Amino acid sequence: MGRYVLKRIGSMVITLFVITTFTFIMMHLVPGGPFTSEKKLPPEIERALAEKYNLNDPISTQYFDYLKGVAQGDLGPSFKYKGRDVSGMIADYFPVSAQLGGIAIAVILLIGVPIGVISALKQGTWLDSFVMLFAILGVTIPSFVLAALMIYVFGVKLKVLPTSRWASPKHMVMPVFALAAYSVAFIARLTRSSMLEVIQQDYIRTARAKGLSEGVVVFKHALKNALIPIVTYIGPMAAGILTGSFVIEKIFAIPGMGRMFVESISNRDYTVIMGVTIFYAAILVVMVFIVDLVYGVIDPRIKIDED
Amino acid sequence: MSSENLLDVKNLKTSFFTHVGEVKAIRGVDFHLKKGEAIGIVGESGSGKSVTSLSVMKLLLNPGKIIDGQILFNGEDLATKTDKEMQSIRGNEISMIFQDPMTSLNPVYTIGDQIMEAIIKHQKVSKEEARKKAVEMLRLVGIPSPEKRIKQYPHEFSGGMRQRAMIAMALSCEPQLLIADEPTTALDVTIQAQILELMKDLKDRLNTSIILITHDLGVVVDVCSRIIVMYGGLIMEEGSSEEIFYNPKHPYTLGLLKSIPKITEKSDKQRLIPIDGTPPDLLKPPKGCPFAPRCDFAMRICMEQSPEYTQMSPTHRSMCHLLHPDAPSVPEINGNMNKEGQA
Amino acid sequence: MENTQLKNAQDLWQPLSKAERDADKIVRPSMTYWQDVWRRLKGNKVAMGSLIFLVFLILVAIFVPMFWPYSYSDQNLMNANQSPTAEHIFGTDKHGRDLFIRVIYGARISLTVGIAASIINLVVGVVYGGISGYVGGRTDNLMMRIVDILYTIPLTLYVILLMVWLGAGMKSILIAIGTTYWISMARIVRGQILSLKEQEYVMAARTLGASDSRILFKHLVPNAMGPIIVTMTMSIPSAIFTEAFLSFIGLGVSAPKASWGVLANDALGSFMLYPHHLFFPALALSLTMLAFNFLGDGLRDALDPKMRK
Repeated sequence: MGRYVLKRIGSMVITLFVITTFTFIMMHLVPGGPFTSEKKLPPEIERALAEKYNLNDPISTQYFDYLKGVAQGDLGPSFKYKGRDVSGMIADYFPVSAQLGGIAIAVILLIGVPIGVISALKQGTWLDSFVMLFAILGVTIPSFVLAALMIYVFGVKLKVLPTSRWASPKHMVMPVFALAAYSVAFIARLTRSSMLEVIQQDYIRTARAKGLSEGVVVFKHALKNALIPIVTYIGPMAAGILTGSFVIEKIFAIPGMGRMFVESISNRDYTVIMGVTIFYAAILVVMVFIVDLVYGVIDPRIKIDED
Repeated sequence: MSSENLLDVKNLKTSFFTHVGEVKAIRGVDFHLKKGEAIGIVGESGSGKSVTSLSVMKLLLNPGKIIDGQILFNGEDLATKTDKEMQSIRGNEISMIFQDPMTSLNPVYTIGDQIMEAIIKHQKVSKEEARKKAVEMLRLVGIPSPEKRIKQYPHEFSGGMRQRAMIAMALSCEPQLLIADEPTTALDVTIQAQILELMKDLKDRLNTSIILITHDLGVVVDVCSRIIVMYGGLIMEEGSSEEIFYNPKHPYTLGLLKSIPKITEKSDKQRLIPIDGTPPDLLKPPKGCPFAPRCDFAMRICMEQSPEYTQMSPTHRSMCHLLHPDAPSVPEINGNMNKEGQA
Repeated sequence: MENTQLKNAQDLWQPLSKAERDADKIVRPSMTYWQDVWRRLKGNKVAMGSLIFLVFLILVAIFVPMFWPYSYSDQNLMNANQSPTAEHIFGTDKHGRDLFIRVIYGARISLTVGIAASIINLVVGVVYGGISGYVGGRTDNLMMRIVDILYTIPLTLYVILLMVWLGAGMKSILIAIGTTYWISMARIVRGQILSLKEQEYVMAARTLGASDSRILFKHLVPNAMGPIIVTMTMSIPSAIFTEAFLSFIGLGVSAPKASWGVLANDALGSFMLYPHHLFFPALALSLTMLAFNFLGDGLRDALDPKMRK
């Protein structure tokens, strides 16, 4: 087990390295420098800025300096907001996004999975059709459309929920729902089809042939097997929540990292773009690793130890 | 007579109500089974043999339903029992093992867990007692180092061992009847023999009755004292093993016997003679004998009317028009018979 | 009378010829694979409805602008922000432009992006996956490792980065989407090739002297078509959505051209006052994505040979 963990950590580091390099290359290939969007600056000031940000060093020096910085947690200064550095900005805005994302994930797992199970058990009934209809809508209606709809209905017409910022639990309802909707729907469908497939399996017939009650058959024998593909989905789900937050935070004016990232894109604040990308990548790589561990625990056919 | 029978199936009819119509899988089947007896049900896919066993266990899934008949087990009619009542019978008094032990065992739980749960449910003993019994059962079916094996998962067992484990699981509560649905079909030939030997041995030791279901006549010859041949949802012929093998009185049985590969001195000259054609469509069951389209001796009456059973001995009967006194003489089937239809 | 009766009785015991025995057999008409697929698809009402909707949408997008009195950039500030009327079926936007025609143009752009990007994904994915799967061995391992690393990161992030690099605009969007989503296609193609490689007809073709590339393209690829078609149908709504998403964060096509995403984004600021600004593009977007999803589901069901009744 220990060797496996080391191997995975090794490959995670490599992945992050590749991504850092890739991001670095991308940002430095952009035509013009980091200051081109601003008003034309007097040449002396431009030179001074270039000095300050080491932009005159050869690319390779800049690259290794950057790598060194990343390894130490220093992602460089922001080009747009003088006096602020990227890591500081991330530390400021990440907690809010983490809350938003965390609650969304909890909702997805605690609501989506049971809905899928119930739907599978009641296959063919109106309940099943009803749930599946909502699931299809959730998967195809883009999150920003849903968000706008909810703002209109609950915020403007009915005036029951606040439509911006992140101050109280009431503020959390619409953003979380809009962010989670796609994944809840997806996971409900996935759970349902996984459950339906598992119920057809021979070992379920064996369990019934042993005289076990239907409850035991479904919740002990079927469920554990049905959860296996769902665990696999958690990785992509986390990625979706992450990218979804860009849009949701913008619409609901939530001071989170997603909104910061989107702003840094419009501002062409390259260090922030790079830093946040690497940070996101790190989060996802760790999540995939955790998912793989959980996977190995649930399914004994997966060998974790290499012997 | 029925009071000594462990199992008495009378006029069983089972259909599947699909969205294309009613598929009549079993169209009137009668048979019985005594205590300690082993019988074989032989037939091709679609003959209704598996559906018969699933009907007895009431394990039919939608859209299957038993539409008529009685299933008397120790005098009680299982056909009328609720699912909850059947749960205390399944695994406890009647057990079943299936064809593919790899897919029939839950991959995410240990073998021990899967054996113990039936014991705990039916015999209401502690976990420790159940574990002891499970180890004992694994030893009984010939699995070495049972204490270690009990903590392993199905994918860590070989094919033959898995089937042994399934047998251990099925017999752990000492049922009166074991139904084995194609238990050796998914196994190598050498392992097949071992498993059949094991079943015979356990039958004698525990006095368990066995219904062995297979498409391979060769498999039943050693274990079973009586054989039932099914086709198209009906019993074509029924008799003791000797009667079926040495004195078959039905063209289908004859066909099955001819298609068994035999090792004789003339083996290089012998050809396997398969039975031409495919099983009947039970959505629109034929009004005549179901085997007629594939029968080498078919007569016009065979397509028009379903034959009655002719009883050749107290244990031997067959459903074939050739056994009728007016039928023309066909040496293979009725050559040895006089006008009254006696052999 | 008696004679016929006797004759009939004796008739019954006459042996049957093979032809008479076979008379009752139900013979299923044989069909080619694709005929079978089409038959199954036709039975799926939802999928057919979606297909009809999409064909209709494409026709509208192509032909309506040719005769519609307004163009997507005609401004008329006196008519700004009108609700739907007989003249302006969807109303007007804040510059007085006819919203209906803008939505139709949005269809052109969104559909073009969706379909073009999917085609690029298809080509890149098929080539990459096809080679990887067919060549196998170390090359395959390496190629798949690269894919694994790339796959860890949400493709949307790559797209965003690429867009920042390439600048806004239609071409950039196509390049960005086209060079990221091929990954899932490549995986599927490779999986298909791997399973098909084992099939007997590859051996048969080889014994007839066919060269490797011939085997690859004439035999293996057509049979892998099923899942490929499904994946492609499903990737169109993804591409459309990604484009809308990009527009939302400011990386979409440039004004006055507008895709549905851009229209929706523009509408955000004022939609509480003028909900129709957001409603129509959003409706168009959602319906189109719904239709593609249903169609993809239907195709997947139709192509699955295990369901042959």
